[in-house]
Amino acid sequence: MEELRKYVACLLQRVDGLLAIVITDRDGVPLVKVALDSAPDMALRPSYLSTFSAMATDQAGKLGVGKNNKIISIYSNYQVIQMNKQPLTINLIATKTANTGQLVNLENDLSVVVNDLAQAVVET
Amino acid sequence: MDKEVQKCVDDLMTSTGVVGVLCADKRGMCLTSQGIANPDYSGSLTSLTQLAAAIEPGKGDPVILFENHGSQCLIHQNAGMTLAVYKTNG
Repeated sequence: MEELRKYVACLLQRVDGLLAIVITDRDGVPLVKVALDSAPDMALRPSYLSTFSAMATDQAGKLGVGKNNKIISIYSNYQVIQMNKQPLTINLIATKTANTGQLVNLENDLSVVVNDLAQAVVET
Repeated sequence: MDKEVQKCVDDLMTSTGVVGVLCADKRGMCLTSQGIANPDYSGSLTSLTQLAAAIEPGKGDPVILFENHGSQCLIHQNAGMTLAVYKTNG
């Protein structure tokens, strides 16, 4: 688990402006959390992160264009990218000026971590 | 609006030696890609243009050229849009 955390911490350095990577379950409970001090605390809370898997991604899947994979939310000061990796969610929190394309591309590198963790979640 | 962009890209693809074209917005999100251009790299291409522009601030947007034995990749940013053109030599 510590090795996973170190790997995710390395990914945090890869994109300028990326402040936090949090891998959560459906309830927003963090399994892996790596964050800089400058990451907004509110965006790291389960009460916020759980809204993606509890509601947003399901509702987005009813728009008639297929299953929802990810939601990118741009706020005035930050951006949040949430990726559906059921039963888990990858959450990336970054500054508003961070390169969204590069952040989205981190999905490939984080999928390795998520696949391992998802096995553990299913088994328990 | 996207039809005009796509038409421009289609015209570019018919140019001699062009084997790939990619357009990305200022956030690094891919708007369109054709040929060998991989949309996964739109973020990195945009980031490169921003870094290159920082080398000489105020001197306009540079054109970046990656060249290897058989091909070239030209990248340019203008008005927030990044364009990458992949060409074969000869």
